[in-house]
Amino acid sequence: MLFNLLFSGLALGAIYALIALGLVVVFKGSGVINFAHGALFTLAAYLGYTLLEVGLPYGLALLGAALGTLLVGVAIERIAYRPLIRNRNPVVFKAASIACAFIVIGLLRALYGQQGDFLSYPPIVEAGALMVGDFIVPVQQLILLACATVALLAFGGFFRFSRAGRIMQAVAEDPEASRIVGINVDRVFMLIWGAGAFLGGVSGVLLAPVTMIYPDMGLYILIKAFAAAALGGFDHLGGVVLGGLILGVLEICLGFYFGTKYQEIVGFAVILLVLVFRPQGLFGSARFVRV
Amino acid sequence: MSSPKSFLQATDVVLGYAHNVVIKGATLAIERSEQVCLLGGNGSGKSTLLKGIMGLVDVRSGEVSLDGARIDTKRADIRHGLGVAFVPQDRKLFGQKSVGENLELGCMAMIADKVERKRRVEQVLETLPRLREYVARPAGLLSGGEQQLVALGRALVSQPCLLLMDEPTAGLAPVWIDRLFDVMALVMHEYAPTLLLVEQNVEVGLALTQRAYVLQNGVVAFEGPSAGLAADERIVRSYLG
Amino acid sequence: MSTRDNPYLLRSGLCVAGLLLAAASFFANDYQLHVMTIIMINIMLAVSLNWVMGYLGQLALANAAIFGIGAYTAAILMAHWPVPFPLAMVASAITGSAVSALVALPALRLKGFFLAIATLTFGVFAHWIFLHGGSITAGASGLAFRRPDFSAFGLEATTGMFLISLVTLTATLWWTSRLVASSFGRCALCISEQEMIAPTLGINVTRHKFKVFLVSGVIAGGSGALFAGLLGLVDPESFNFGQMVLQFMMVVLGGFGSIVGSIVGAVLVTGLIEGLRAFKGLHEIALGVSMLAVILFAPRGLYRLGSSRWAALGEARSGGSALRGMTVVKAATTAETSTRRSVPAATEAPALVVDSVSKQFGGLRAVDAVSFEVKQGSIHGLIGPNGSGKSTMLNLITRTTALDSGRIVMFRQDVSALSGHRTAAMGVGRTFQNLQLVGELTVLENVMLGADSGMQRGSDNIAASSLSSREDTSARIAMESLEFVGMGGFALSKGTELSGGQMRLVEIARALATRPRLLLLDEPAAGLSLNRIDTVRELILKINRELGVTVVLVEHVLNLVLEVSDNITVLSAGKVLASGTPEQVRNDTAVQAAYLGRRASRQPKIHE
Repeated sequence: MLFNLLFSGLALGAIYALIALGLVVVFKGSGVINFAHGALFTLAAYLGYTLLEVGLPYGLALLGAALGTLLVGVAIERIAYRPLIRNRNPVVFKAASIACAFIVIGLLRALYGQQGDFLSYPPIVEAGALMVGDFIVPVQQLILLACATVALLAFGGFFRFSRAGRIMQAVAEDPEASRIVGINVDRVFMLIWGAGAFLGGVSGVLLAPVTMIYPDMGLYILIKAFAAAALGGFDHLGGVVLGGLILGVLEICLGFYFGTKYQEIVGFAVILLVLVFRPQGLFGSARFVRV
Repeated sequence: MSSPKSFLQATDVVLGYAHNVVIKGATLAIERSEQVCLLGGNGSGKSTLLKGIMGLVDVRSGEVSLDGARIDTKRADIRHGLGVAFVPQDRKLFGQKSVGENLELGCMAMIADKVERKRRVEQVLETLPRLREYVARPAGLLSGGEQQLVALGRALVSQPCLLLMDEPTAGLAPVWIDRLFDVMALVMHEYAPTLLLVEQNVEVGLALTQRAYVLQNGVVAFEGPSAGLAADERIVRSYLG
Repeated sequence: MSTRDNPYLLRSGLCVAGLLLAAASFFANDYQLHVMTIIMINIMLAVSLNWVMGYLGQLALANAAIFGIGAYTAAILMAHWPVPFPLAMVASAITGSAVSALVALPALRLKGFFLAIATLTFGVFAHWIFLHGGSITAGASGLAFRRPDFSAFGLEATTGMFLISLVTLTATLWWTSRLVASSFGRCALCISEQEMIAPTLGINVTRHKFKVFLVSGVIAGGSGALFAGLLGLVDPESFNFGQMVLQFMMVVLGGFGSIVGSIVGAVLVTGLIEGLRAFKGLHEIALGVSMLAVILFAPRGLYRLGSSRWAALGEARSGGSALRGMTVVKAATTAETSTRRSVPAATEAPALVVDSVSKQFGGLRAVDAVSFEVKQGSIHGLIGPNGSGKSTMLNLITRTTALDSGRIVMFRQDVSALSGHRTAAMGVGRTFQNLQLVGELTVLENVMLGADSGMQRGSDNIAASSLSSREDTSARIAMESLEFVGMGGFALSKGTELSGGQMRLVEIARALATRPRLLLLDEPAAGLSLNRIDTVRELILKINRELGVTVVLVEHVLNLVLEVSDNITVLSAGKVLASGTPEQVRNDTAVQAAYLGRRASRQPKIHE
């Protein structure tokens, strides 16, 4: 039983890690929290739904939805981030990203509303299970975990070793120093936002088959992303991944032992506890958190 | 076209920050491969002028041109691509990255070929052998003087035609001032870049250059050959009043 | 003077509107009354959120939760006991303010968006509690109870709630506008824009933040009771994240820190929601687009450079105090001004003793065992090349930064352990190198911040006097200060409209208005033209000779310091390099070397 709990927890956690990673990549890279990240996640889920309805196989639907989300993410960067860079006021950008979230969610509600408040995905594969040693492993979850892991590793590799990734890291660390060495910081911001949105999109299509999708799901996902990021440390990519995994496992375990209604508040409790006792999380640096 | 301009030409430049006009009309003319010093007391605006030439501070009026073409309307990263390299006063290294990575980043944007980048880094390490020792160390952990070397190396990796240096000896221990002095003399000798050097330390600045401008209150107060200015009473007056 | 700046006009307008609405209630139908009451509640919520977000500048997004807690408090009380509605409302206001004070705690420690996340999470948590509160909150279906009964007054329930809400709204707006136009509001804005300098103006930042959160909580909690009374039912979905975002939007659309803006924002948002209710998703798109449009294009909206962040859609704010200031001063100039200080007799006790003070930042010794004395009534210069620790020294004196070791004694009292605002209360005023004025206040109001501080420790019996006479006195003192520095004509300009040099003068006026015994000037001449530097020099001399204020002057422009100072201390690399009269310092070779740099000892060595 414990193994199954752990496995489900890790599968869920891997997806949380992806979402949180998308959020933190944008935060580290451009210094702002994109409150529309949850809406992007929702958008991907719906795009995937439509692509599946049209008949595409799951893998292509995933890719298509993630790319579409990437484009919208870049659009948000140009509309709501770029024009406001010079404005020192931090509230302004939050307000702008919330506005974008509203627009996206409103559009989704308007376009899909006729089909019902909740939609469900066709299952990815036939419901079944594999025997791995002594343990029963549901296939769907295995695929989830595998995809999420591949996505995380691929992104990690890209970020650390490719030229574009290293340039992104430089911009994330110090945009002005990057300018001095000839990096076109504006264009890199676009890449960063695209990457963040792509990650959010992938996780959206991965999680969708497991739950019902509805326009407001983005909020709860956003809170999970915050929780994972707060736990791991907002400016530490590896920490965030770990945070997501821990969150997933905690949710599944606590949900099992105490009832599903307590599953939701795990995220809240994590955020509040972390921010009160150790705002920089496990691996983050404290300087940007405290007044 | 107007009369032949110098290699680096700044004409009646006015620049500054939101409520603070720092440079109120400065004119400089620097020839190719010349080494020129910008002197001045605190608040004279010399660092701001240098940043304006690099593109980190907006030019409000006036013109800056490099090799005949205007650059004051271009972004800083484009100016880097045109051959302008900047060594800032606070070094602005990527503290979390290794020294080697910092050096490579100096030409990462302009050169896509990894092999060529490595070659250039190697070339700079030949010139600054001291850096080999800490190629793998995170740049943020180095001392001020060591960081200054890395910043200089990072600038040289892009093989610039115009090198801008902002108070390289500021805040350094005396032994490092001497070391840096030697390194810079070597670099001038081997690479012969066009150099615009801002220095607070009058002695060092004049010893490394052929000509100097003295800024006061945001304008050029006077200029002259470096050798002659060393003993000029006007400098003491402009610094101490 | 445009009418919108005049608070008297605002308040009379409010009364007229109120009476009209009250009268209209007899002609409107139930649905219309219901919507109008919702709008009024939303206005109060917007005002409540504005207190914390607009005036105090904190991103605390727990307002929907506080609203909900207030609503549930009233509902629970009225459902289980025969509690009269007014009492329930008071209870809601109290719980609202208590929860708000709780939310204030993280606000003291967390920055910007971390605070936003913490408070949003708190809100979602509250929603979860409402949902799963079992028999107390009656869960998802909501808690129903009998609506307050107005039959004793011959009114229907909805009409009754409408009228109560109207009265409450009017009272709220009146109270808010009074608070905003007073020292309370000015201090909040100062904390919001320039928190670091607030203690030097005698503001106890922590206590003031709490007070503002309390005010906000009272309004939000009370509105919750009104909401409950209107519907006769409270359910969790009325207080969810979406609700919080709507409140946020009202403030953003209407304008931060603006009462009229709160009204406009609330009407706009409520109208859009009601109007577009039939079409799925359309109201969200409309709200999102309008908010984005306001952010990107509103010329004096959120999109303002620098420290201001106010919207264009109307300010009914405290321009009135400035107006009052002008009329009072016009009357006062005919009377004799009595506030010139006499030059104190030369006493033995120095104004300031710095004794072996040190401060380290990480690996850097910014100030290293520095000692010097400043005689009362003198002008003391503090100079040194870049990075010598001059500004840090000033920060240590005003306790903006804490000492590592050593003592600082002011007027015979050891202030080394005092907090910033208490040090200011001892009679220390200062200007800062880089900071600007509070952009949203007028020049006069900025200086009034200083006057308020001076009045706090003054012998004037202020505690007994009314709010308006305190305001008048503050405005008068501020105006005098402005006249003294020669900026009287700019009293009603906005801080952001001035040039750098003018702002510097206003900052000096603000410091003077605190009636300091010791004035610390941090590079007052930086970046000024030669003419302006003359003005500053004359001003410093005037402050010292006419007002008898001891002056410590940190400066780079050396001729200025050499000309006005009685004594000078030279710092270099955190240590005292030299001290003495201007002549001694000027001719000191060590000083010259520090400024011009050490000699390069030999010819360059070139490798083969």
